[in-house]
Amino acid sequence: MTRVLTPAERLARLREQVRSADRPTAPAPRQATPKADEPPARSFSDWTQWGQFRQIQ
Amino acid sequence: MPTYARHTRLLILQSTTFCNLDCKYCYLPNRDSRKVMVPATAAAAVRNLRESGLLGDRLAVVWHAGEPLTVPLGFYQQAIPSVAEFATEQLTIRQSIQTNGTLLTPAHCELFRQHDVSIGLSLDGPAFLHDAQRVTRSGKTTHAAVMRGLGLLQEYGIEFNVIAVLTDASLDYPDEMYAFFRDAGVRRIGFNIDEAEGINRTSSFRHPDGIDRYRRFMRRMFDLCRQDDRLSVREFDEFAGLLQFDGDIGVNTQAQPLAIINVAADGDFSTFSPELLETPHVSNGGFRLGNVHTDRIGGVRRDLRALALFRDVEDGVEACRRECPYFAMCGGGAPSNKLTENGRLDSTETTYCRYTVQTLADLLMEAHEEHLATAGAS
Repeated sequence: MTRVLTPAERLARLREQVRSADRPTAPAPRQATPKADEPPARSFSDWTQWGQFRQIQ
Repeated sequence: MPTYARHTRLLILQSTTFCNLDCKYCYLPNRDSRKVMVPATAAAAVRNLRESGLLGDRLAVVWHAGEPLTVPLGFYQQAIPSVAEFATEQLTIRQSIQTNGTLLTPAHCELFRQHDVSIGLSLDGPAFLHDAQRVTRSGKTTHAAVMRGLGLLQEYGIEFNVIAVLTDASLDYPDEMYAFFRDAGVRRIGFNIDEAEGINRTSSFRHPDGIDRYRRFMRRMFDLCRQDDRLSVREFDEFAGLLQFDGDIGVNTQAQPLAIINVAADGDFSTFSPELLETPHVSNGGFRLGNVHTDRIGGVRRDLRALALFRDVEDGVEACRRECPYFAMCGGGAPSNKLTENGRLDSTETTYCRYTVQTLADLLMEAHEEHLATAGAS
């Protein structure tokens, strides 16, 4: 029986699948890699800073 | 020792707590108070951050937490430029205003355009959904006035996004919502949920089948957005960013001391979720930690009362880290929701996070997996 992945494991697998799917083609436009101290946290997402924090990402 | 944010990323300026509307789900207290900020307080807040060494290379300044446009235009004609003056080659400052849009005038738009101030517009969708919740103090509907404001923003070319609050009643209408926003020329939207928070002690989402209905709504919205790519949804974009990021998400900025600074009309300041500025907290004597005119914001690192508060919030984050399988997508939850729903900052799961973190993560992972499988098969 296959073990059900935890959400974190599922996310990790999905990230790898996304990277693999991107590889054969030209890199798609994407957000810049965050600096080490600025991960794309779900930061304050229920408020109006959305636009600003999207720029940070 | 709490882990402080190295830099403050978001400064909330509450020019007033007053609001001309009486939305049924509003969680902010003191909406009758006519207390108004003086322009010097805005500059004092940014100067204080600078002198505290808390400014990095960018700062988002948001006028919020009340209806900012009930304050006379003359206030913003002074305050907005006074904040903008702190920008340097090394520091970008972006100002925005979260408004219900009913009081917008061409003069506001002129000012916002001049200083590149963006707008967050509160609009819950078509009139039959919006007007069921967002009404004036005498119970009159507001959709027409908001649409007039939206038209002004478009006429003046002001950058704006929409915040739409979902209630239980909205969840049956993803297609109508999508068509409405698309046809209204909205390009960016975030979907909040009707939260039990602050003085709003209940949520229409505490319905037994709420999770399933929310999941269906958001999934349908995701599919609609994917079809024609004309509406950018905050929740979907954030998750797409998470997929592209390959590291530890860190701590939610709402739960990290000094990442967000909130300043009240009288200059008092707090950190963490902005809602806490107006929230009494018995064991800590309130969330206000000082006043920007008299106290150094960075000084809270040595304030014993603040440290006790920071420890409570951090304990809550650490409990989330230990117990919640979704921590990698969240970073520890919102202290304001924990306090309202659980009565404690050092607690974990809330209804709010079951919806906006757990359910959303599950449905978006499923959607992306399906998309990848389809793309791989074709």
